Amino acid sequence: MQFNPFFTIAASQIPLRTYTLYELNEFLRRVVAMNFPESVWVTAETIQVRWARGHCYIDLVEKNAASSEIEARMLAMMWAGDFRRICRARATEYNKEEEIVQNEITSLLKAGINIRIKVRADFSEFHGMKLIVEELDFTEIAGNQALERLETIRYLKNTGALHRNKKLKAPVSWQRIAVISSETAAGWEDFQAHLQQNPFNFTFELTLFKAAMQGIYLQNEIITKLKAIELLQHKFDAIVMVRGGGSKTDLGGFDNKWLCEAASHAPLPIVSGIGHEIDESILDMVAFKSLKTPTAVADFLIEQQRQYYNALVQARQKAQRIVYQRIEQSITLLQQQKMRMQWIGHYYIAQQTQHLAHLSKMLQAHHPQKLAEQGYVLIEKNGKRIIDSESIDYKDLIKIYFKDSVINAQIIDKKTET
Amino acid sequence: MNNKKDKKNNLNVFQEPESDYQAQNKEPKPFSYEEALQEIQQIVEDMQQPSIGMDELLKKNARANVLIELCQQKLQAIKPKFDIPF
Repeated sequence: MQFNPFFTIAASQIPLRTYTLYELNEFLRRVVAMNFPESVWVTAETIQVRWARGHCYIDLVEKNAASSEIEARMLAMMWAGDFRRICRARATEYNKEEEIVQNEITSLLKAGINIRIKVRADFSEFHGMKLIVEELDFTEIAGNQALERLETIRYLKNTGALHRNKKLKAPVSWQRIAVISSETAAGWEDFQAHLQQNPFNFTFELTLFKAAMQGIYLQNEIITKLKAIELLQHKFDAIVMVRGGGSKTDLGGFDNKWLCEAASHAPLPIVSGIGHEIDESILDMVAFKSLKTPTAVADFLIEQQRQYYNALVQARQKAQRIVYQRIEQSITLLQQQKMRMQWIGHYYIAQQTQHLAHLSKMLQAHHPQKLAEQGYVLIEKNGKRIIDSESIDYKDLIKIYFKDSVINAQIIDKKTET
Repeated sequence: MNNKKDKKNNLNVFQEPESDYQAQNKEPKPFSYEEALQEIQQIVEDMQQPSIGMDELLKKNARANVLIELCQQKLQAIKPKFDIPF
């Protein structure tokens, strides 16, 4: 760096008069322009990165290595034209699409990273001091980011957070969905429209939990919404995170360690559709299911519901089959029982009829008339039948029953023959 | 004497005295097949006892015949109940 001695000489020669601010700033602009004619490479840490109308605004700081206190601070900006030039050069160098390179850079450039940039000092009367970015050292940026990602992944793996959400039991039905998205995001619109147009007429209950899906508030807002959903978990089957729209948007926020850890603790499966043309975000790695786009998430939900519906239909058919089988079995059993009853009934009737016939014959056989007709007589004394001679004595009055008459007689002699 | 004999012949020496049921001209109610059968069996057994008098014997015989008839009727009545087609 070459310092122009003009500044010291000129300062000592300033006459003691009052200047307007513009005059002072104009003087400073000239001083800076004269003393920094060439651009220089600078290393610094970013604390905020903003994009507006294609221009990139980067807050740079340098912290004390021991105390971590900020020792230097400066705003740097990259004009949209410079950004396109840088992207074009890199696209040519690596034979890539310019748009892909733009996406790469926007995803890499984020708050909290160390960068090496080629800047030109610029002072304007209106905006004051800032650095104009002319070149970016991609190796440095990518390296930092990769290291941080690795560190986050290692942390999540060691704490079991990387697979926690994946291990959750999939819901039987994916119908009641808590959606974390930005109300104005094109992805949210696409997601809703795609679900509504499902060919099976499945109904989905969507509840939107509004959160910034880009920028510096992303982590905090999503973590807050995850906590809100946790309190209402009984009302939902799953959580969906979708965003979409501009391909230049920043994905870096979804690599945030605390956001990913919070997501891993979600009590419901998370399906992400936050878009990752370049690379998978760590949140995608943590999620129960990660898909590229909100439309893909909608397709996934529809497919899950289709499988659920099919399972229901099959279960109903199976239940019907079982019921029919049981009914058939019961009918057969009843018929068997009925046949058995018939058989028993007929057998009983036949047996009883036979028994009654036998009894009838017995009655006939013992009927006194039958005996009298066969030539036997029945003798009765004092109303009782006599079947042996010991029961009658001399002069006893007896009745003798013949087949055609009854004779009253008296015993005039009793001689027992042996 | 002849008239008396004829009269006796007409009357039938072993004419069964009118049973209680016949006298009342109604069947015992409620009619139990099992009880009736038991009674018939008892009567058959009693009739083989020498101590039973002629009148009693004839009376029991008549009752047994009535009961047999009723039992047979009952069996005939229930028979169609076991012939229901499937």
